Amino acid sequence: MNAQDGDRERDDVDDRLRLADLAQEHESLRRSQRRLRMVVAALAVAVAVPLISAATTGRVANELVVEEIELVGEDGTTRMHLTPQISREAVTYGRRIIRGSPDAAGIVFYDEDGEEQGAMAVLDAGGIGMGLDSKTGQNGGLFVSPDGRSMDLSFWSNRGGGHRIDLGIDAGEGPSLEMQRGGEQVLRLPRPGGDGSGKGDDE
Amino acid sequence: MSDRRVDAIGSGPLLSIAALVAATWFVAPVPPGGVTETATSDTVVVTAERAEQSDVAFAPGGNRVASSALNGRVHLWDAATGEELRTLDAHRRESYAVAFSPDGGRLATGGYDGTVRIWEAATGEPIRTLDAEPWPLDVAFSPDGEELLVGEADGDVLVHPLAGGAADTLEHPYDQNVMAVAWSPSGRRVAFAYRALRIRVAGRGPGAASDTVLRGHHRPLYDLAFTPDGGTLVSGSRDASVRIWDLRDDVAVDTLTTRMPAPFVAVSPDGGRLATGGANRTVRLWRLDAPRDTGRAVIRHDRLITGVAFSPCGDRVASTGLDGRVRIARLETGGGGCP
Repeated sequence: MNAQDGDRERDDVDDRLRLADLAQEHESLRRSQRRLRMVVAALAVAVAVPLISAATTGRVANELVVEEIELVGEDGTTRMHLTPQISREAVTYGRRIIRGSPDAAGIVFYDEDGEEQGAMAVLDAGGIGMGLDSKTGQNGGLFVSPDGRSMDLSFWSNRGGGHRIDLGIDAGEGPSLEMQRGGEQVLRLPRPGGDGSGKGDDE
Repeated sequence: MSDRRVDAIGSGPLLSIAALVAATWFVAPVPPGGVTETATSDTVVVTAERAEQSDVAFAPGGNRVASSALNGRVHLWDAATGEELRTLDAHRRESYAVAFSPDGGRLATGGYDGTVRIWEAATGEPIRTLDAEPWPLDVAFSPDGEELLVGEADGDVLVHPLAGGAADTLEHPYDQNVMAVAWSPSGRRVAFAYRALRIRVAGRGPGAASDTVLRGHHRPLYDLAFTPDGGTLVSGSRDASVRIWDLRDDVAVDTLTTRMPAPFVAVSPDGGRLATGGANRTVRLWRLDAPRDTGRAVIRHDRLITGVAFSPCGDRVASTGLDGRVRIARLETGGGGCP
């Protein structure tokens, strides 16, 4: 294939994609219109019911007590889920999987496709943690032990051979900092063999 | 969840009546079947009841496409026109997997109801239901059509003899979701991808190659595809890489890194091209011998892609997405898979 053929082929593909995009946009507008009607309906209910309820009972609500709250985007995709029991199952790329997570309450965050993008959880066994995900998986985490003896904050990336930074406090060993670049450790404080206090490690 | 308290706005008949009125007046009816949005000589786009789509497969003749959806249904489409040929109420809940038998006569589907169902593809009549507790994530017919490989969420991999008899449970060293299963074209090897970052390749039959485990992905695997000669396996992962494994040496001979994860993969029937799709919402075609330099977009979705497939002649590629659409693109050159 010469360069001209390649250009022509790319142009053809672009034209077809543009046509498909137009058709898609048309459908998207129609769906937006339907969604708008649904939102108006939901708003009408949301506004009318408390008003009527307050008017008939003379009570003004100032508390919402529910077991779970799920916030969804305008297309119905779950974006945030506040729950006393984070599910051991998750749907990812259109498949439900078992993720084997511990029993915990918390908030799970989802991206615009409904893929998990992070969570903050209080474990039933104790301890609180937060996971920060990218599209490619988890890239950050924070954990505080239930007895308050250890706390860890970590960020990492598997790109570039693997970079990582860990910051921690342990009641017995004191604070620590560790960095990896390209999978190799480039910094560790206190240094191995130190007294653990951090004092004199740089001497 | 029972006995929910909604103290703030009250519950009871007022809310129920209001919700009923809203649902009746404002919500547009959902069409019972699929809708062909556009059908040109180059592209067919179909929408299946606005239901998120989870998998796609071409029939051996290339004239039909099956798609599975998270509302439990499986749709059969005309690949050239997008006309809906049949809708199967395949599973009570989500359907995750769909595959045609090599002769095109049967269709296998798997869903969250813990079953794999075999259907007569021409009539939509159910033939058989296989137990697949807790639930199957992928299915693949053997090249001779006599066995069905099923990967399950609890880590089991089962080979079901379709003429009847007990299933053969393959060893499952990892107690994790089997995200994808694939049968080599010779039928002498099977491969399964665990969410636990490993691919297991096992021999089938007397004199088969020894088992091996392939490691290298950093994030969960989602899809596998053999090349037609069976010597190469392609794997897709959420770590935004596609790895190409030489099964003679059990090593990754190439790694295609994408900006966003494109964990769904398909290899053209002539073994020359690779199709990928995923979080980038785009199906791209690559040359398998030089994947890093050749990516070309052929399909775009509104939301992430959940499955890609080549037609048996390599002249079309199809994809499913969470946007509820099945997209089928005609390619400029055939893949050499048909005479």
